[in-house]
Amino acid sequence: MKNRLFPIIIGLCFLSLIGVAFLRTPNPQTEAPIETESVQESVTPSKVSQTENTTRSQGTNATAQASLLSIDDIDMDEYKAALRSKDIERMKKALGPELSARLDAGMKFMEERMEGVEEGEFPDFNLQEFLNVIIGMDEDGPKFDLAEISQKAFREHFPEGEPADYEAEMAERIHKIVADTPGDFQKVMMAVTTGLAREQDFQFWALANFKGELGQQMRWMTDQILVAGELENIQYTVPEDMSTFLPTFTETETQDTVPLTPTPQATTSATESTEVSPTRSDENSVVATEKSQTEPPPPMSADRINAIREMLSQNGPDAGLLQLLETDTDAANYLLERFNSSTEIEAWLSKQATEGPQSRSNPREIRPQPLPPEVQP
Amino acid sequence: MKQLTNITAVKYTVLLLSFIFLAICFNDVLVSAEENGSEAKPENELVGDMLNDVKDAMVQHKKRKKALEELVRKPLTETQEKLLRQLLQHTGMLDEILSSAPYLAYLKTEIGKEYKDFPAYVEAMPTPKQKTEVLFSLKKMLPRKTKAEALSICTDYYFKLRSLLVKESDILTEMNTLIQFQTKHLMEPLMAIYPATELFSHMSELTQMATVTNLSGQMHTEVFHDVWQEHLKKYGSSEGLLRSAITTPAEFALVRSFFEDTTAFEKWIQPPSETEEEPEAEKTDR
Repeated sequence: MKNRLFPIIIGLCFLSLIGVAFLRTPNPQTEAPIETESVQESVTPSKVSQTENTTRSQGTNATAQASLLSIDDIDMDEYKAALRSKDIERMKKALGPELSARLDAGMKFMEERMEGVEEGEFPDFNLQEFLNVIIGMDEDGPKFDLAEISQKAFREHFPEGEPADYEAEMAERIHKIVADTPGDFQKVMMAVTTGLAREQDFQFWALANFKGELGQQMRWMTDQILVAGELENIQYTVPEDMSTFLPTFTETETQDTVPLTPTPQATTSATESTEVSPTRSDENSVVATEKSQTEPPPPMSADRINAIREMLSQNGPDAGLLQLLETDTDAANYLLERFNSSTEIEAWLSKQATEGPQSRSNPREIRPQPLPPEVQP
Repeated sequence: MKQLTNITAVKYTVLLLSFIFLAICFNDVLVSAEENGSEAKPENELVGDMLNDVKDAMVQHKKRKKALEELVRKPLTETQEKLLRQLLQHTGMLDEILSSAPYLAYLKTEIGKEYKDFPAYVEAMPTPKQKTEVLFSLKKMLPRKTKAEALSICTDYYFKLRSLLVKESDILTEMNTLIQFQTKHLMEPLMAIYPATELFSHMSELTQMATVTNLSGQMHTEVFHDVWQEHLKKYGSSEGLLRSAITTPAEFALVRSFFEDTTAFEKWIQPPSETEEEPEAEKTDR
C-alpha cells in the first residue's frame, strides 16, 4: 500500500516527541550559552518550575493549564539525560507511560479517521475528539474544553461581536489571496491554506466559528475560493484528483528561486547523469558565494587543505569523504560547503594536480584563485 | 457544489490544520500570544516556516520522482540491447547470469569498478559512491546550515529505511513501528549531535530531515519496484529481471543486497498474483 502521508505523519510525531518534552523548558534563546556536557546542570528542576510558574501566572485559561499538568510531571532532567544516553527505553520511561500512550493513541485516532473517509468526502472529525485522545482526557483527568478556549481566544482578538459577524471579513481575506494568486484551484487552495496559517486572528476566528470541525472549515474555505473566483471572473474547477495541488502550488512559487535537480538516486548510470543539473549548480554557486559573504566558513590552513586533498587522492573522493565524515567533521563540512558531488571533488583534485600548487583554484569560486579565500594572504 | 477532492490532499490539509491548532494550544498562544517574550519566534510563524519547509520538500519530491520515472523507463540503448541478447543465451540462476563476463564488463563501464562476480558487487552495497551521491542529494534538499554529521546520519538512515521498506511493506501503514524505527535510527543519532537544549530551535531543520529522507526512501523503493514489475509483466520473469539489471545496475544490486537470496529478491519484484502462480518451469529456466 502506498501511503504518501506517512512522512508527514512521522514528521509531526517526531516534532511531538521532542516538542512536548521541551515546550515547558526555558526558551533556548533566553538561556546563556551552555556547554554540551553541562546540559543537565543548566536546567535545574527549580529553574524549570520557576519558568513554568511564571508562564502560568501570566496565563488566564485554567483549562489550558490543566491540560498540561501531566506534561509538567515529566522529570525534564531525567528526560534530557535519557536523550543523551541514547537509550530509547530510558527515554520512554522518562517521558512516562501515559504520555507515550497518548501519542500512540493520537496517531491511531488519526489513522482511523483518515482511513474511513471515502473518495470525495472531507474527513469531518472534530479537533476536540482528537485532543481528547492526545491530552488523555478522562473523567478524572485534565479538562480541555475547546469551545471555551476558542471563545476566550476569539474574544481576546475580537473584543466585540460574534464569530459570525466576522465571516465576511475573513472571507474577504480569502478573496484577496485568490485575487493575488494566479493559477488553478490547487494553487489557490494551497495559497489560502498556508497564507492564513500565518494569520493568528484568522486561526482564532476559525476555531471559534467552526468549533474544531475541520471538514466544515475546509468546505467553507473551498466555497470562498469558488466565490472569489466568480468575482474575479475566474471559473475554478475543483479537480477530482487534487493529489498534486500542493506541489503545483509551490512549484510555480519557487521555480524561479529553487530550481530542482532531477533525482539524485545514485544507483543507476542513467540517474547519475542527471545528478547535478546546470541550473541547480548555478544556483548553488550563487548560494555558495552568498554564503561566503555572510557566513564565512571556519578558517582552514593551506596545509590542512593539502592534507585533505592528499587523503582524498589516496582514497578516492567517495571513500575519502566518508572517512572524513567519521574522523574529521570539520574537513567534511569544508568539502560539503564547496562541492555538490564527488565528481566536483574529483575535478578539483585533478585540476590541482595538473595545475600545481601555485595555480590551485577552488571550483566554487567564480574567479580562479590560487587558494580558497580563507587561506589567501 | 462539486466537492470532489483527493483524499490524500484532504488528509494532508487536515493534518496541517490539526498541527497548527496543536502548536497554538501547546504553546499557550491561546492564553497570551505575547507571553513568550519578544525574542521568541511567534508560533504561527514557526508553523508557517515548517509548512513552507514541508511544501518545499514536497515540490522537490514531486519533480524528482517524475525525473526518476522518466529516466528509469528509458528504452535500452543499442549496447544494452546487445548485452541483453547475450545474457539471454546464458542459463542458470540470476546471480550466475549476472556474473558472466559480458555483464561484469558492462558493470565496469557503468560504475567504474571491477568485481569478480555479481555477488561480490552485491556484497559491496551500498558502495561509497552510492553513499556520497545520496549524501549530496540530501544536502541539496536540506537547509544549507545542515551539518555534515547530520547529513551523514540521514544518509545512513536512508539506506536502513530502504532495506526496511522492501522487507516490511506494511511499515507504511504501521505508524508505531515506523516511528520506533525512525526514533532509533534517525532521532537518536541526531539528538547526539545537537545539544539537547537547542533541539527545539532546530525543529524545522529536523522535520525537513525526517520528511526528505523518508520521502526519498519511499520514492526510490516504489519507483524502481514499479518499473521492474512492469519489465517482468511485459517481458516475462527472466528477461524482465535482466532488463532491470541492465537499465539500473547499481539500484538492482542495492535492492538485491537487502535480501538474503535471489529467490526472495525475485519474489519481492514479482507482482503478487504472479508470485503465487509463477510456474516452476520458468524458475528452473533461469
